[in-house]
Amino acid sequence: MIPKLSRYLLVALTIITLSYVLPNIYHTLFDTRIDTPYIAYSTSEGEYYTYGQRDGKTVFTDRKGKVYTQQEFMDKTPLENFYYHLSKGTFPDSFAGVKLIPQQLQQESFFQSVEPERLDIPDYKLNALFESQPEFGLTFSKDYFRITHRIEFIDAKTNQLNQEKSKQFTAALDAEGFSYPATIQAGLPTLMKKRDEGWFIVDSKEQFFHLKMIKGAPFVRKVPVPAGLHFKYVLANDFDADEFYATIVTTDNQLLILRKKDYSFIKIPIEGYNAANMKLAIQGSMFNRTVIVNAEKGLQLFTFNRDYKLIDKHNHPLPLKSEMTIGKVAAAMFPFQLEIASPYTEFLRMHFDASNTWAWILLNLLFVVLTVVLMRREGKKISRGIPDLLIVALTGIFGFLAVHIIPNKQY
Amino acid sequence: MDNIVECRNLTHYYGKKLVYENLSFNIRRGSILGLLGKNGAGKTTTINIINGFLTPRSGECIILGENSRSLSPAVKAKIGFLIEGHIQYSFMNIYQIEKFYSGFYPNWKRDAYFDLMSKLKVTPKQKISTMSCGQRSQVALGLILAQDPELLVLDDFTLGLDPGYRRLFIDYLREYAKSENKTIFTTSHIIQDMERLIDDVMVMDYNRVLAYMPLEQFMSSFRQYNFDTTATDLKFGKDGPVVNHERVKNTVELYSYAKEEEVRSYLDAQGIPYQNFRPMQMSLEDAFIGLTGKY
Amino acid sequence: MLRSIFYKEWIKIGRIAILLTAVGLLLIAGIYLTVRHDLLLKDAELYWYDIVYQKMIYFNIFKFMPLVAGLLIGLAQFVPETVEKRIKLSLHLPINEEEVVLKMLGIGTTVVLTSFLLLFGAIYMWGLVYFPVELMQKTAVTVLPWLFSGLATYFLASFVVLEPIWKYRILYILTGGAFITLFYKSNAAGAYQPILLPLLLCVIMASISSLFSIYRFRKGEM
Repeated sequence: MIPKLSRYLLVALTIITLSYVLPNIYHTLFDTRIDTPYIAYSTSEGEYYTYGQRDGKTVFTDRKGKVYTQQEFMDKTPLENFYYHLSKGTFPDSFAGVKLIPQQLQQESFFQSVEPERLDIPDYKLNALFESQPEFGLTFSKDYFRITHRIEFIDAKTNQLNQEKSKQFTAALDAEGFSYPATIQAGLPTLMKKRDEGWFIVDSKEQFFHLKMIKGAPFVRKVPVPAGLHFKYVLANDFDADEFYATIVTTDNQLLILRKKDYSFIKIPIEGYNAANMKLAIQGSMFNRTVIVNAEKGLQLFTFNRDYKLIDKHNHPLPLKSEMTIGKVAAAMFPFQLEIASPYTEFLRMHFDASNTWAWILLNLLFVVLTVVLMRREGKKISRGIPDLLIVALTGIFGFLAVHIIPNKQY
Repeated sequence: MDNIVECRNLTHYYGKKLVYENLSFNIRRGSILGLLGKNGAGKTTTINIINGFLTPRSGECIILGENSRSLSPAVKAKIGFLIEGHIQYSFMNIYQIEKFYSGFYPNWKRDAYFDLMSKLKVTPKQKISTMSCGQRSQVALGLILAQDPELLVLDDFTLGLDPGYRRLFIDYLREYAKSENKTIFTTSHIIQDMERLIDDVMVMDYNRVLAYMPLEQFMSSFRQYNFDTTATDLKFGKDGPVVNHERVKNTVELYSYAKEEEVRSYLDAQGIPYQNFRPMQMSLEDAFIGLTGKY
Repeated sequence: MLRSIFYKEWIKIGRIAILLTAVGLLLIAGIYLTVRHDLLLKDAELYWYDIVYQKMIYFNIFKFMPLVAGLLIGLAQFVPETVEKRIKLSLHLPINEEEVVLKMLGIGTTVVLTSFLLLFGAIYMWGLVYFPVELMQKTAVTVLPWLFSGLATYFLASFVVLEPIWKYRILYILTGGAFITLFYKSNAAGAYQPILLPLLLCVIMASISSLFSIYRFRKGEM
């Protein structure tokens, strides 16, 4: 009986392997590129302009589909493409009664992307806390901190705890009522930033703290969190536009910012966002903020004024691979596919993705018939091959190959 | 009668190629059966079936009371098996291999093995793989003797042996089997010296058994007659006494189980002219070739 | 009996297992001597930065070591059992045919696991000299799939070697090779964390594959 078991285990393993390998080979051979267009909101026109590919050519359109030349597109977006207009001498002096200064335009513009594959990643939970007010420019910290049962600083050179510093900072966290350990730590551990704002830390009770080191001493501030807010991602920034410390995504896919002037959380009212499988970007300018939600089925844009009141929105659908020939053929060929890597995470997970149509049933039946024919030709008893036929019926091409690679001779 | 091996109606194919059909034979306790056949006649197939390495298409072998398809460890312990070419774990030396096997057999006869080994001119650390074919055959034989099995299954043990080692092997084996009342089933495609060993003979050709009887009976009843003839086209019917014949120019070698007079009268009846008709002396090898043909 | 089987298996794989373990330990020594050197000569905090923020895997050279070890031990154990159809000798021993193969595999698996445990322990414990435990945990999660692949390769190598027919051997090598690639799908430290258990299950599924080869041999596939 054990040899039979070992065969079925091998067949199962072969099916697992093939359900990963075959779709991958198929996609490597036949994949088609889906171009995501660049869409700009023109503050002056109140219009979304799409800058995309059509039949291999660059095309500029507005949301009604009217086609523009690149020159016309540039002219329609003077504030968004102010560098171009500065160089051409066509930069407008003012807009809506506000005097335009190029430097100010640049300072007020920012771009924050929220990409799941850069957020759902293995995290060491060790971070570097810089001196926020250095006398001679930012330097990299000599130690790294962890927040487990307290905050501890580990010297990188010696791999030893700095007890004194650990005690000092733990006391500061304790004083603000920190509940150990930390669950989320967001900062910018790089010297390529304009200023240091330390770390934004969520504790085990979902309390929110701001931790900095100023002149060697701890600065801890507990930030009041609105009820019902559950943090998923926190992203710190160093934008010139000194408006907010951090961007926050909650577990129920709300988007918020942590405003600098009063440490308040401001909700940006967008819809249809799912942090698990969509990219998001906030594009800010002197006049407005546009949130771009990039999902597989299309781009959704929401434009807000500086007080985060919605002023316009736009939906740009994208062709779905599952509705193109490549996707339909795959769905008919493979009853399921094993996915291990995903574009939305750096972690590997095993996940069987079922075909979205029932077309594969036809092919599975064909493979069952073929298996019966082959069994007849080899003089096998069909009655003893029923488990194999069931495997082929359920797993199609994968099972068909598997039961023949791992042969079931009848002795 | 006490049979150690009973094989009934063995039929086997490799793919669509028939090896044999309805092969039946028994091996009596204490007897030595030689299965003789040319290369590819199905000797190793039979050995594999007996040892459970092959399930025949139909039929079965009962070895020491058990079906060969699933031999129990206890029965396997009573079967000594020599693989074609004296294959053993040649990455070991003679001490290591003895140590290995001794752990499996409670009645291990260490002395029997080392008696035989003492006659070999090998160094203690010499690996079996560096030994000569004759030396390796002695190692394999020594291990079987130490195992002290009831039944010895020897697959083409003469393969690759010098005449001296072959004679040594055969004489040692016969002496051992007869004094200890062991049963031996051996195959061989080299017939020379085999009559010194076996009690019963089975001659196998492709797809069929040509002879299966006690050796003595075979040697006394199977005969060769030579005669000269002028006939241009010689044909012998299957129903006649002629088993096989070879012709070299005008001389015919005729093989038959029949007595001289029967053959003569058969030739007369067939109208075949012959002169100088003479019975010939045959060794087992001659008889084997006479039975199976030179090709 | 088990002692006798162990004795024979050890003659085949003992030396190569010790050699491979030694090579692995030397490799680990090389890794940590380099780490020590870099921490002394460069800014230690920037070396940590590369690991913590830049996804550097400082022990990448170890990647295929377990795979090679599993393959070589599998070959060393089962090639001598199959040349000249010597497997008949093992199957003829007075012990159940499946049991003898399982015992051989069990001994081989124990040797492979012991070697891997030593290597894993060396990588982990030595690392704690230079790095905090968080870093070593990620190192462990990164090294584990490599070790799993070594174990899987050991099982599959024995399965392939014991298979009597070349045509199927080649098919098995192709599928087995494709399966092994699943253990090398990411270059990010710690990325395998969620998939470790499913992969381990797959390795366990492969563990008794040799019984199928032996079954085929015993049924007369030669």
